[in-house]
Amino acid sequence: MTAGGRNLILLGIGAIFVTFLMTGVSLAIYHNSGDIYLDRSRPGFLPDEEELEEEKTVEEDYEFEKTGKITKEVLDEYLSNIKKELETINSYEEPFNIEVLSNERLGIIEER
Amino acid sequence: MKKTSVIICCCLLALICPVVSVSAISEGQKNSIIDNCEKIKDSLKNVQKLDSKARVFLGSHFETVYSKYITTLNVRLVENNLSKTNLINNQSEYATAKVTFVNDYISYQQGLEDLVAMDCRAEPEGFYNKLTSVREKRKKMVSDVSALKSLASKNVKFVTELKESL
Repeated sequence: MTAGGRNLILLGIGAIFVTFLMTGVSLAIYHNSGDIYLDRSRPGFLPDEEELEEEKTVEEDYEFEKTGKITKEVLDEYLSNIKKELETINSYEEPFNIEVLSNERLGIIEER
Repeated sequence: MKKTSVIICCCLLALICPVVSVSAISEGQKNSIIDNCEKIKDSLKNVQKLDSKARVFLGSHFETVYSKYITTLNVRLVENNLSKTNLINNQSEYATAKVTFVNDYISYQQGLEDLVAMDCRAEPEGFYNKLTSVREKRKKMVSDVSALKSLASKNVKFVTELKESL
């Protein structure tokens, strides 16, 4: 084997090693940063059909302008829209309900 | 010499104490966990999925309230020389609460993932202890959500007062 051929093989092995290393580092960062828990493209975490339907029917977003005069009417509009946003948040029933992890719900019976 | 022996005793105690710790789990609960291990894990995986949905829904709306409303209003108030200390403090507290919510969620999900990965048949007591810890973290999520809602409501109150003063 020529020196050139040997170097090519070494380059290939080196490239594969660097690829594995970088992939491992990326996955570690993805896991440790917590982004994995926000990723809904993971198998088993994909949005349900009803969620996709809801996204399609969302109205055009209200934009509160960063510049301009502040008047009572402007603040009324702000209050009206932020209250809608808060209503949407409050409409989500019992997020992180603690009962879900209770012994009864998980089937961990006290006595047999 | 005395100091050395005290240090050695403390180290020995630290090593022994975990071994003699009392388990809070009854025999019935232990057997339940062993018998229903797979069913419990399936329930926990379902909880993971539901929590992910809740986190994305709430997270996006909390972010909208912060970036499109609270922050933008304060910028515009500064431009109009109407800047209010209570609104600026509210923005700061909201930002902190949002970060706390995200960090607590990550910690909670990491705990839940570790719980799902445990072999509940081999270590029912360890599994139950971990479950107890995850429950505490979940309670923290409830209070984080409540804190963010409360701060958003305060913003509404302060803006209403500002409107009345104009």
